[in-house]
Amino acid sequence: MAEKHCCHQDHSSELAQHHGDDAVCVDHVSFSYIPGVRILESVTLHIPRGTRLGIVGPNGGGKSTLLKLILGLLRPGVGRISVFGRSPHQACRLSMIGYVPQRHDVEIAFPLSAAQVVRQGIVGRTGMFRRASVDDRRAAAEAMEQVGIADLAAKPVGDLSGGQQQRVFLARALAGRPRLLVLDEPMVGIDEVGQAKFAQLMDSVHRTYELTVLIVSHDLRAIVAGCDQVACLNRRLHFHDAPSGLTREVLAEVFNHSLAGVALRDEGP
Amino acid sequence: MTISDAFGPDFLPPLLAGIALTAACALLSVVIVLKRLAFIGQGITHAGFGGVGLAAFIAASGWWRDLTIFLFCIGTAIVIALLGRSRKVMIDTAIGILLVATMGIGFLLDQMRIHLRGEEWYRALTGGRITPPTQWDAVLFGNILFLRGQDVWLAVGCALLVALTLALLYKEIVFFAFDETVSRVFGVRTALLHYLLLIMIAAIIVLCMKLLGLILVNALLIIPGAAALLVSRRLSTVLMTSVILGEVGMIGGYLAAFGVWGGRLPVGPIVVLILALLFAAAIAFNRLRSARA
Repeated sequence: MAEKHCCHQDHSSELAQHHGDDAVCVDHVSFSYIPGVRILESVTLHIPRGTRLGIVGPNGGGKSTLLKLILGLLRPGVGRISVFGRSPHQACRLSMIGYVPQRHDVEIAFPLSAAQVVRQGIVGRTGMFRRASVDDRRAAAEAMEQVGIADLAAKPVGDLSGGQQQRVFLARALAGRPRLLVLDEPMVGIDEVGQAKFAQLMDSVHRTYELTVLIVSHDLRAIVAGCDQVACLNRRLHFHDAPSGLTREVLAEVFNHSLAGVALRDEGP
Repeated sequence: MTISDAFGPDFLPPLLAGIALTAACALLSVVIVLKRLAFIGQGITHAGFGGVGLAAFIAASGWWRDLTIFLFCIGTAIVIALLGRSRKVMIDTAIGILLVATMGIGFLLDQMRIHLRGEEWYRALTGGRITPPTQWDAVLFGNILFLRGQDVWLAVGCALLVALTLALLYKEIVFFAFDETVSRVFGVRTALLHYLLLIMIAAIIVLCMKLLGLILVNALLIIPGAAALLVSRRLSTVLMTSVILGEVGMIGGYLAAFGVWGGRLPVGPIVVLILALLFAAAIAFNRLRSARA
């Protein structure tokens, strides 16, 4: 299974082909904001269903760009992306993707309670001009239970601590019962105890919701803590399929090694 | 004794229109403040000058005049939105440029029609009609007494339409204002909402032109929401407070202008000043409460 998804092999025979087992297929995608300056160069990445994949790389290496492409917020200049066999845009419309954005400072003045923010997660599922169904509202309540913020439901979201806000955003992502959960830099601004707790939480979430998880971070520890596979991105993709039996220590070592290699390669002219 | 006996038959219709438009403005102002659309609002109101000039140039009157101004505002709003999306131009730069350009077009067109009166092609364009000179002070500061007859029903109808649209798309608009990018990932049609909001703002501005004028209408599109957000942190309370504050300003200003000064003073500036005082009171309230907490 590992070899099939490795991006180092020649893909010409299966160009732009969707694998039935894959949650996300990124095929030979290149992207540039400014013509001639490629931020992503022929990136190919397949995420099998149920996997927890961490993408790590230096700042400016194209992580957020790749994320925006998978979320349908940007369109690839070259190549093709599909999420569960659909375009990212369609997948978003169908509430297939749960997204936990980088924990930016929540607008203190924004008059919403934690529960109201979590219920934003079912807005797409409900559709315009409609009231949320009983099922969906229950799913939102369950998501709050799951991440342990049920007792904060009525509090203004601006009053919560950083870690609590992040749980609110995680609950919002889970409320829509997505099949793919995408997290952008989840460990930024959280102390080590909080990080360990969050990794535990992600473990239980992954088990309960049968999700494919994609985590993007510049911080190695954030990724190693809760991922089955690790990919390294710095304009090009350096992908490592980690067998499920691999211990975290070994994974960290392998990963560290390849990260150093990438950094060296990119410092050249 | 009825109100009509006390103040004459012309007292109630403009007040009714004013109350309806104020409610719509107050609801929109919460979204405008939260989504930081205040400067776009400024851009669209100033585009109104261009619309007024264009309407005078093509000798449009009555509803055609309103429609011309509305379309000019919408056009400007769309150009602002497109420029803002292009990444090449910052949105505040785009607004700053269009704001002056559209005002320039308005005054220029208004002047040109006087000099072009003798030209054959111009008379063909306007069908020989000549509209009276533009009353710029009414455009700037409004004259609520112009709101009568069909205007009142148009105002009430549009206000209801805006309120209904906001109610039907409540959850989408709130999410959109909270975090546009994330809402898009969660399936909210952000482009649609963006243009819908711009259209509603442009429509309300055109209707409020007679109420408060193009300059002062910004007060109703910003102050009620901004003040209400200082008073409460529950969205439903904020929306209600915003409407109440807006109406206090509107009705208070109207009563002051007609009840106290017998219509000798203009309504618009009084409304705006009351709203500004309410905003100051909201800041004081907010300070007091956080000091106690």
